[in-house]
Amino acid sequence: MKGIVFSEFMDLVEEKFGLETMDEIIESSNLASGGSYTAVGTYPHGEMVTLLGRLSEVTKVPAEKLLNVFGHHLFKTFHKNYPAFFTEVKHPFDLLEQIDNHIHVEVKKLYPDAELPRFETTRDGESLIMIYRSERKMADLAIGLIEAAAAHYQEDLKIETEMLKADGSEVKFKIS
Amino acid sequence: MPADLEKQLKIYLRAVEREKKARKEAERLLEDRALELYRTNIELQELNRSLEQKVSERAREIKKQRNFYESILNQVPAEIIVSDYNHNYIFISESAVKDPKLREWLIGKNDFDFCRYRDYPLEFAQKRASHYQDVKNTLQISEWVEHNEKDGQEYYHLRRLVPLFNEQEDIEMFIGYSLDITKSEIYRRELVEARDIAQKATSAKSEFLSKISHEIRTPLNAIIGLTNIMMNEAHHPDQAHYLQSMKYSADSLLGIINEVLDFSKIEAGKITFESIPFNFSHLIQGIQQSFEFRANEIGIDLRTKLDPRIPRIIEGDRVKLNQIFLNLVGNAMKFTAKGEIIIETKLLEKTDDFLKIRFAVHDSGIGIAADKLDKVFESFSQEGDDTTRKFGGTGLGLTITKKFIEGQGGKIWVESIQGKGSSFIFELSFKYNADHKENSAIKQEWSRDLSMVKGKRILVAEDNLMNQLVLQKMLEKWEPELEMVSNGALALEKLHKSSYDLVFLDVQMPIKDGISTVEEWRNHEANSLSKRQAIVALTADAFSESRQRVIDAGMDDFLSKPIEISELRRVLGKYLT
Repeated sequence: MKGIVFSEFMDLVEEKFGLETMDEIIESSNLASGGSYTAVGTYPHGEMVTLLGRLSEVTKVPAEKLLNVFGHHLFKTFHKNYPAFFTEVKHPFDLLEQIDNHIHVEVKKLYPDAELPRFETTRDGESLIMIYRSERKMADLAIGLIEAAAAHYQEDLKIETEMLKADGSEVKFKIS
Repeated sequence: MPADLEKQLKIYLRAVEREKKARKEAERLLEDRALELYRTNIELQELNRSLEQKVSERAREIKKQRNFYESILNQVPAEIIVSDYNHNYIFISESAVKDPKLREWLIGKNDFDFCRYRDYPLEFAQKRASHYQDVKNTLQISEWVEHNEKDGQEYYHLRRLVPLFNEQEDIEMFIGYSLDITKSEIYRRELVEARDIAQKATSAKSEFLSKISHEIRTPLNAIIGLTNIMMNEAHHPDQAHYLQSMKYSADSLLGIINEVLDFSKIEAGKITFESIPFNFSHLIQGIQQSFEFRANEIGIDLRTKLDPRIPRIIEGDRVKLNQIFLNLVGNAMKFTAKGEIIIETKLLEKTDDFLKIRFAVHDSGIGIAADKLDKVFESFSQEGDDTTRKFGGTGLGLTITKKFIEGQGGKIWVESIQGKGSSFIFELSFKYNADHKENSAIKQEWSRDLSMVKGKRILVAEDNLMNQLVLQKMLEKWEPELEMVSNGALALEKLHKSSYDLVFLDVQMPIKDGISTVEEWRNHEANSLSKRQAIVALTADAFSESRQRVIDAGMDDFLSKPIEISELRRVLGKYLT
């Protein structure tokens, strides 16, 4: 998993729960990396799962909720660091439709080893159907990102989710 | 230090430691990236070098190919240029512009640039531009011949401008090429001159033939006419026989002269065709009658096999059809010693106002060799050189016959087996009127009673005394009151003094000819509001355009010399009864 996800996660933990909580979850997680992350590195996905689980235990906030908040945070970071992807976009649907066939294509050029989730989209009248596929099973993070995008464009969007696979590796969003 | 503070400090220290580690990790990664970048850069340089090499190799190859094609183009004995849509040169062959510097300079420039550079008149470029415009307007090749003079010598160039189209079918480029046709142009001119000289010589010969034939006809007419009269008056059987032979010889001579005249008319392209209603069955009867005597003499059977579906009255050129038959049947007579000659007609097509007839003249004569069949219609040609010696003839008859038939849109061919006989078959179309009742003009004139002619006043203007005598003798038996004068001026004098029932005017007379005489008289009639005088032309020229000319001049009818008794009866019947 790309380092930026870890470093941003750490920033969020520090910002929302303080340095002490951050230190606590790192120290108690027994991580190969020792919890020191740089945005340009790559780290095992398992570390994120462990950190998230620990944070949930320590803060008593459900992991799903944490991921959702992280999604909101990541959107801001993306918007700040990669404004080029946002300039032509007028509606969140347009942005969401671009993930698979444009944004992730560019990411792959820069990081050929990146393993990225797939977002298959189809328009259904006024709504957008989006199918999330990833072995990381982090659909909640995706929902957070979608919500943040809606908020950014000041659109009031409702997201209905449907598990296509019980393990969460394939989830359908109906956004309207 | 309080435990709380120490704990805090440791947390910070660990955080700092993690940050330090992260920084080192980042630095290592950056170093890796830098190294990777360096290697990539070197790789890129390498790729760039090989690409440049490939490009220059490709460019060399293109140049080689270009040189190859240009050297071919330069070998072509033509000036070749290629220009873009705006007429700017893309390629110029060595032969088009010999100076290599100028050639190079001209690439990307047009004819106007060239004129300014060389101080040529701009008109040159304007002319070229108009050819470009032609091609753009028509999307077709433009072709023209340019004539130049250089150092006192003439040059001709055939120039062509060819459009090249792109996929959208728009003009993208032009190919221009130019061939030096000076030599062939000079040859062409020499050929034209030679042809003109030859044509003049031929037409001079034809004219001479025509004149001489005409000159022969006039005395011959007198001979035939007087022979006819003498035959009627002959008392001694020997004399009658001599006169018969004399008439036959004179008729043959007239036939030959007529053929020469017809041929010279055909050669001069002066042949025209009439479309006049005539009695078809009478024409066939007439043919049969003309040859019956001779057929009986040589002991062959002359028969007709006529298609009853053919209407009696049809419209076409009666005179020419008659001549065609005279020729074909005459030929058949010449080459048939025993057996029969059959004139056959068959209706091929018939609509409301048009019909097509197939005619055939079959004989049981000597026939024609298969390899000579296609030659029989050629001028001056007879089957063998000894044919003329044995059978006589000019060798023009079938050529004239063919021209007469083809000139009317028909066709003629021959089928023959040597030793068994020949069939000359021809097809002609005629107009006809389904409601046509036999009108008075084509009624059987010779059946008319001409006793009314007795005492009628007839004026004849004819300069030739022999012809005067012939006409006088021919008219005598109906006992008209006959007056003779020798030119048009004398005829007008007579006409002013008294009126006549019928006037014959010879077309060719000294002092005042028949044409101006009739014109003058018709004017006089119009001015004095007098009754129209019946005037009939007499002429030795039997061609239809002469006939039209005399009718247009104001003649009422037309008699051609030698005057046929049946024609004379027709005219007398028409104007005096």
